[in-house]
Amino acid sequence: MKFWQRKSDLSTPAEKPVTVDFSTAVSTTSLIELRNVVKAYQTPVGDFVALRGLDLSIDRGEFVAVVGKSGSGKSTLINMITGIDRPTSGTVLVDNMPVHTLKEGPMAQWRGRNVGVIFQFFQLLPMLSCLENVMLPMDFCNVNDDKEREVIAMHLLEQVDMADQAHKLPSEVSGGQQQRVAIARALANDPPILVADEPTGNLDSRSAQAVFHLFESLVAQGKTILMVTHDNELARRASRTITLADGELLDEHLAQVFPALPHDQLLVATRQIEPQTYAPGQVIIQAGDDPDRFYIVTAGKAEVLLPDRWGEQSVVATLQNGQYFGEMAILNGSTRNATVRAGEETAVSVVTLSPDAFHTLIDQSPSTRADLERTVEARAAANQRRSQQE
Amino acid sequence: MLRPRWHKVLRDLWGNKTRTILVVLSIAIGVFAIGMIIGTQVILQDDMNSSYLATDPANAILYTNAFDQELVYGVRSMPQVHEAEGRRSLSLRLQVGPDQWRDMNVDVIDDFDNIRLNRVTSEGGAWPPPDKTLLLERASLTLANAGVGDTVTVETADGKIAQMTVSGLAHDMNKPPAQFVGTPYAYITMDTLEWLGFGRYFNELHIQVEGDRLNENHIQEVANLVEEKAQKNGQNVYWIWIPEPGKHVANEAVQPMLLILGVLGFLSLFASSFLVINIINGLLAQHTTQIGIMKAIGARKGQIVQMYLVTVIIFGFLSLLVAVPLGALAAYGLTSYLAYLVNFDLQGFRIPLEAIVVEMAVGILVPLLAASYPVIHGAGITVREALSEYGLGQGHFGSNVLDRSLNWFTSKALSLSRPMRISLRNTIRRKARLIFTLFTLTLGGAIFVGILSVHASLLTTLDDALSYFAYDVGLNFSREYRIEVLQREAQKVEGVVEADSWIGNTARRIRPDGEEGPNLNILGTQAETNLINPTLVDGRWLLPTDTNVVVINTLVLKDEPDLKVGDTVTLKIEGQERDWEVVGIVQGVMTGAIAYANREYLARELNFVGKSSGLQVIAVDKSAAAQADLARRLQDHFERVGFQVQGTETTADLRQNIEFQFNIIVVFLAVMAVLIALVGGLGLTGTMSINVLERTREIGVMRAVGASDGAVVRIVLVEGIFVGLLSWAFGILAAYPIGKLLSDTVGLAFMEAPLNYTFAWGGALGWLTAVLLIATLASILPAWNASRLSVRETLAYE
Repeated sequence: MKFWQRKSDLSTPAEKPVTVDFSTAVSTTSLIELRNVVKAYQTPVGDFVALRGLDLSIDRGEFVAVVGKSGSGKSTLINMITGIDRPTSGTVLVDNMPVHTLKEGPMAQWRGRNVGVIFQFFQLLPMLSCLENVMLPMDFCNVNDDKEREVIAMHLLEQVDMADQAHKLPSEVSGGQQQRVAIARALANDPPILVADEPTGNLDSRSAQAVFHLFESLVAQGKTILMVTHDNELARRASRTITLADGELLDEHLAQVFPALPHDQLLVATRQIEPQTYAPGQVIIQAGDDPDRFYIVTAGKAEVLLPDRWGEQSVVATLQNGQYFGEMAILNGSTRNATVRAGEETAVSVVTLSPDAFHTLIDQSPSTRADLERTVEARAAANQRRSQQE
Repeated sequence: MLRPRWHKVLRDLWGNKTRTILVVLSIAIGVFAIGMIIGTQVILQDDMNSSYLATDPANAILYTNAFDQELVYGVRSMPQVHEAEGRRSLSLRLQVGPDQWRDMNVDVIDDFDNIRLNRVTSEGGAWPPPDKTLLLERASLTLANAGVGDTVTVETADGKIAQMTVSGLAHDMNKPPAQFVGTPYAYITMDTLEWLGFGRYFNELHIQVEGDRLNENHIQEVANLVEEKAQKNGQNVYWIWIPEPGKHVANEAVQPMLLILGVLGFLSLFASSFLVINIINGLLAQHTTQIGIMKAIGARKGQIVQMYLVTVIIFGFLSLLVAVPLGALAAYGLTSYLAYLVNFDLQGFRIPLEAIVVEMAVGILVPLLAASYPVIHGAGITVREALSEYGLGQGHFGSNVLDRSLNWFTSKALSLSRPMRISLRNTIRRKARLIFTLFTLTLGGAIFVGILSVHASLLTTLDDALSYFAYDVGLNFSREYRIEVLQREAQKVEGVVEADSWIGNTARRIRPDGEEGPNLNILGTQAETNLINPTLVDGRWLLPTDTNVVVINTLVLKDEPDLKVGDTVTLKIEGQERDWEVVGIVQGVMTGAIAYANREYLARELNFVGKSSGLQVIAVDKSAAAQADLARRLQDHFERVGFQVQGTETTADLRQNIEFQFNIIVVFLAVMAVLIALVGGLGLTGTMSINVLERTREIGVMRAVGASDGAVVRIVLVEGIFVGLLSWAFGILAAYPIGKLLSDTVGLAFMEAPLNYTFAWGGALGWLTAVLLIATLASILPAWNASRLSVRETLAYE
């Protein structure tokens, strides 16, 4: 899979309607939307800001991996979404529900029905059997009658391949099995969203794989999953990865383009990028101009134009979300050798970096420079081959 | 089908048995105390009074000169009188040892098979007693030093000696228990009375009124009518005794004791409530993560509160299962002991409904109330707070001045070893828990030492009371003799330091509304006597120049509470009313209500100047044996020179009787002291268990860095002992006022005046030992458990 390709294009199945109806619900197109969310904690040594004006949108059916170092704000972020914690300022909308405005009691009920929470340490109640643990959310949220609860819980345990252990206590099954029961518990009230805080952090690699497969199948069934993880391999397999550093979201496209860059540098770069949008057919860079920005496509399609043997500009490549352009002239210290314009059909959105910021970024990461240089060489070679063919 | 959340509740209870047992015992101990006290009150009240009423008690007894059956028939025919019976009472001397004699009250019953009032029943042996034999009251055996079949020697007032066989035992509920008064009771027939040289006549008229027999005024009115009839018949009625209607004679002594027990029961319940708060707090602290998880999967605060309150209700029910039967057994045991002392029979083991109702209320409601705050507060924790507790160190240390001071003090000032510093600093990490534990243990210690202080105060008061009777031996004569003759003869007996007489008579107060009060003794003594050493409560003692002034003892205030120094009181003595000024109040201790007057003045008023029928002697040797020996030699001497000696008494005997009554109070108080100590011990055990459980991971870290089993045990033990010592210090500070309050209450309940307060320093040291023992025992189990944990287990603890 090439780095500029979209990793997945999962369809969004019909959603189960949210059962708690609150008059304060706000209409938004995303399933989860955070707007300018700030979270600060008071500590004996002063205020600690865990989230700094976070904006984030997650659509239905997405499988989002949340990565970042310890203390970067990952857990705080998912606590905002589950309503476990409240923002100091900003708005958190989950399926149009302004979660941050709910009081504790309604919040618990809303969470129980709409968000399944999965913990690193499984957190099954030790005195209840696996089956009873799965029945518990239905009990608390008064979902289904007593007999149905047992049937549903058993069905969920079958789904996670734990039906034969249903009557055992958590202490009698392995960690991986406990986590599967915890996933079944999270699914008990059939919530549209699952939030997992390092669900594989305490599991061996085999159990971790099994849990991940389970997540993939749940996403295929239409669930939206947010998963905090330290495992880059697993994160890469999610449909989307968001990275947190020092309470801020790293630009996903920057992180995708420069995977080898340390988070603190990416954070500096994230702060320096400028988003821009071009109308269909609008020229973004013109061949022969001096290089003024480095571009990454975030939406729409950009067309790369080069003159053919007859001197006519023809489209030689189409760049999509996550692909970049404008790096060659900056790296070579030359003028632009190609024109790039917005596609004819839709507008194109890009984020851009100044040449100085771009140089600073790659100067601090020789491997990133090497990666880019290889890309430049590959693109130059492709151009050469194409002109020879012509 | 039981819902999973209720499964969780039940399995939490079953899963942590130690904690469940601890909570159940904590609640049970308070319930037990209340159950025991209410059970005792109810059974005692019911059985004592019903047994008493079953004897057909006389509503009034008129003490008169000799009368015969004719008067009884006449009174019985009065429409206001339901029943009447004549009795004869007399005093004999009973030989209880080779040279030991004791006064004995003898009731003469005309027809043993047809006793109409104040029934005496057979307890074995002959019934009625054959001629020349006697029946002993069953509670008199020890005092009489005789049993059924024994032949005893008695002496009449005029010196006639007779041998009589104890032909059987009787039970008489209408008399104060023999051991209370130190006098045995016996019953004989008219024929035997005649054989002893007495005339066949009655001197007591027992009556039971028609109408409301519980109305004292009504009884008094009827008794006055009977008195009129008797007087018309030529009788001289000396006085009328109206026992408290419907109540056994000991009821008055028992009730304040039960009241005090009730107060102590309430205190132990109060202390055990703090215990419950502490343990529920600990339980919730342990369940914080679980609460967080339950909330994360949809549980509302109300549902969590419900779950833990149901847990508390189950704790309550379990405690009832323990406390109700034990409380009932203890109540029955205590009542049996009291029944033995008061000399009545219980109607069998039972658990009174009243006790069960109160126990259920106390066992369920008090824990619910005690737990409501910790539960509501604990269930209110947010999911984030609940789930964010990680790593080491629950409970905070170092965030305030107290912590930093202790830190400096333990490390710099005392240069304590590190494990010791850990122990001391651990102590104050959970401050609310420490406060509750300290409160429970402090209250326990304060009450324990307070109770022992009441005991010490009782003994001091007793000593003061008996030192007030500064004489050693008292002699009663069958008639009056000139005081100087009595004094001169007494001085001839070896071992006599001083001899003097007081004179006495019965008197009744004429109250401002014209009503007559109950009998009191008026005692004429020299103002500067060495026989009496009064403890002045108010006003002053008598002066040689005093005329119509009296000093009353505090027991007079029991029936005449309005009297105070400076008042004028009208006393009716031998039918004549005289006004007296109250100039002082002295402490009275179980000697009855007494008004003291100047002997010479009183003698003039009573027309027997210079004469007395009693002599009080101060001895060289004040030991009990020497007193008894002197009494015997004095009696021998007086009889040899022709005096008619009716009886002797020694203050050692008097002390024994009073101590006997005091010991009943002490036994009751001791039971409560032990209960309180148990509550405190349980409190500390609970706290230490919770502390150790919470710090399991820390213990793992300590072991990982090299702490040995012994070091872990020491850290936990020292912490427990430190808490114990802290509570002891606070307890001793609180014990002084609590002991004073208890002592004043006991004094006022029994003697109408506070006891002479003596702080029990020995008790304080005893409590120190107990606290160290409790602290060690309370900590040793958690310490041992902690030392057994492996590093792997402790670090994996969640």
